[in-house]
Amino acid sequence: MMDADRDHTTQLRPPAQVMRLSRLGSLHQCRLSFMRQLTRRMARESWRIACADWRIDASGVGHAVYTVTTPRRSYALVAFAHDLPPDQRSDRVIAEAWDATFALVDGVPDTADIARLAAHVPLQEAGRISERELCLSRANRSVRLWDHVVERLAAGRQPDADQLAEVGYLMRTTAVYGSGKFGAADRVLIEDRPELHPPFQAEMLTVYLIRVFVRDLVEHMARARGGDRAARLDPTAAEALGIGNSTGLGMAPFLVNHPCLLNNWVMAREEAIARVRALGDIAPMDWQMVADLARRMRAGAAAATSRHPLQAERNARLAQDLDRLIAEMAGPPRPWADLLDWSAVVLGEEGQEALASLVVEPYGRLVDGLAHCMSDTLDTGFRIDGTMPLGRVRQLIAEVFGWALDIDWTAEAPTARAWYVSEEKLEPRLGQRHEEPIADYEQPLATARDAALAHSALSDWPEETPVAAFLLRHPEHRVAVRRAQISAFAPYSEIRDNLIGAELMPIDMLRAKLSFFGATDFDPRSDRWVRIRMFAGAPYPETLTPKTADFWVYPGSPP
Amino acid sequence: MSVVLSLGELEATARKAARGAGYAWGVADEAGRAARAMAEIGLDGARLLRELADAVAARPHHSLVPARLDSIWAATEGPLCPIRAGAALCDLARSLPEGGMAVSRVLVPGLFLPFAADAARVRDAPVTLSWRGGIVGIGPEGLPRASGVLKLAEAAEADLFLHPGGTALPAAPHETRARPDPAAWDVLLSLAHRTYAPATEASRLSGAGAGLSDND
Repeated sequence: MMDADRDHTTQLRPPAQVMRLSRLGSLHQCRLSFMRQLTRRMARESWRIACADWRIDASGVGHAVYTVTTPRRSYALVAFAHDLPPDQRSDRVIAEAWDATFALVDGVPDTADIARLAAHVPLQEAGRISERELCLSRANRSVRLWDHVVERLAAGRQPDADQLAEVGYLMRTTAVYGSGKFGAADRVLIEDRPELHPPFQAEMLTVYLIRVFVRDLVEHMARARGGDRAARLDPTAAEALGIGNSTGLGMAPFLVNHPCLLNNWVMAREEAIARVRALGDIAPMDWQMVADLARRMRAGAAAATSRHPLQAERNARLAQDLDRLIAEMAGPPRPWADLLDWSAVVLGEEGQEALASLVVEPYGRLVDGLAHCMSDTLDTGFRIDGTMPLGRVRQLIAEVFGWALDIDWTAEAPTARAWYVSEEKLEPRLGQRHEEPIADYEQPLATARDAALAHSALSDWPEETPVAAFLLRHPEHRVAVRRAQISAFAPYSEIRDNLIGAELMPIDMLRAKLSFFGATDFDPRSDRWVRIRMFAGAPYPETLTPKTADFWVYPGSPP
Repeated sequence: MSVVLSLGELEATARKAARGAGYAWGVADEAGRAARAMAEIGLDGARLLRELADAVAARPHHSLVPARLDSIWAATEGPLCPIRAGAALCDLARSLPEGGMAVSRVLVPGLFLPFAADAARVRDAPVTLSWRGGIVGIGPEGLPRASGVLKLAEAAEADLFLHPGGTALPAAPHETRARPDPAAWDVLLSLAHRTYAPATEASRLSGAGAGLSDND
């Protein structure tokens, strides 16, 4: 490409490219991910984290309290440890018992709070928490790693490095509930606090503290067994461990139900990429930094394991792509736009998105401010403009879902699935529409089909009619019309794929969301259930400083 | 037994209950918002929604909407649904007739109030809602907890008149919890239950996608 042709103004990638499920399902964490926003703030504001109470007995039963002191206010994690028989350990949301259960308290809990929480938190969904609480969570041990680590530490030895690396976590959470769930405080009560304004900060803080608790608990259990002989877990080994997480379909509808929020997450990242794309001269130091981080990411990719054939293939391709990238970057610095354009031709989608996240890394000052744009209140506040001529609504639908308008929505394959909620656990599920009796219970998540049906119904009306008149007769198209109007100002609000098609891979939706959280090590266990790690590599409170707060997500330390 | 809920819980169940009562999802969204908005000013949105569900149960829903969106909103025959009429009001909030509009025979008219407040917010200017025996000025900041509001929330049906302008009463500070009437809450829960598919062994295994042992 000629230099004169290069467009150095910020140019966002088109939604038609970014919002395809296969690409959303290839996203990687980046500077703007919610875990990294949290650790940067914790370090910058010198949050103090302390174990304020530890009442856990030698069998591992009891509770502990971790307090968090921020410049403005305090929070606390109350952790309950249980002694769970192995046959009751299940990561499914339908489980009824866990190895540990947690609540994040707004402020510092007193004895009455602890007693109240002890009666409810271990029951999880069957209990009630109050507006004093921000999150409810639970976790199960990785049985094989837990036993191994306790045994080794009790004997005064360190655990086997290979086993640590293979599992990667001592406990995995199976749900982290916030935002008013099960009686917790509504988000509206906390969203104006700077430290909780970015998305999911209370949930991320909960997981960060769980990870501290889990490390302390495993050492406690080793001491209980080995007494004075017991060793502490080597700090470097502890740091490499994350908190595992099993995520199923419950998370998928969130992205569809919060179109403005999805837009803001994606747009913040796209804007960051575009700003970096627009840079002309690249400082050798910045070039070197991206190359180094790519090497560290490559080391992580080498260690990645997945039993899922598709993911195993993708991991292999990513490793290969990172090798190509590292080789490509051996030359002198050139504009990131060149390298990104090169990647679009040579690398797979995972590799392209890895590079897109990587190139942003040296430019905190240029892009970190975008973090403030990732929250949103419009998803509740937006009102349909019923004065809009319905011809314009049709046009908006066609711009986003043009590809879906010619699909035969009476055929079986494009409508193979239906999203529904089962009466059993009140969790979203995905079923076979033409084989199970679920169509009557369908959730409004079939965005492409519903947009196409609305488009078709709108065609029967004169173009100049205000859409309010149409909606009076066709309330069933209200969701689609609202979404179409949102797309007019939120270009990344819609996933541009058929969410009820036979080919749908729900894990792509999960990965998109989890990557914005900052999760790593995606390991799908089926097409609708994925294991990940959170905070793997993150410094514990005693080593968290502005220097360590950011790049922990890349394995290994800087050369 | 008293029921204490987060506003999000109230809204989510009210939304599903409205769907269970036969409303389209997009209208059910509006019902959930309305129930929550009433709870925010300390009124029982759940009770109002339950009353509405009872009132519309025997009526075809398409009959509960204004025949025309001009200066007199009335159904071709019978009363109006406050959610359907309220949603239409918000849809048209940007272009309300200067002289105001009559909204005739509104069922459970308390549920129309949140939409009037939303219309004021969209217009960024007050609207005035009046009926026989009451008047309330509602500003963009939200619903006041005025005696008129309390009275309207007790009415089973009312002829309303809404006009742009007027003097808004100060918005009520927001409650942080909803305390619905337990009997009304139970009705909403059972209506919401109609949106859940009966569990089958197949859905348990394949629907959520597990089936593999996760006890490792």
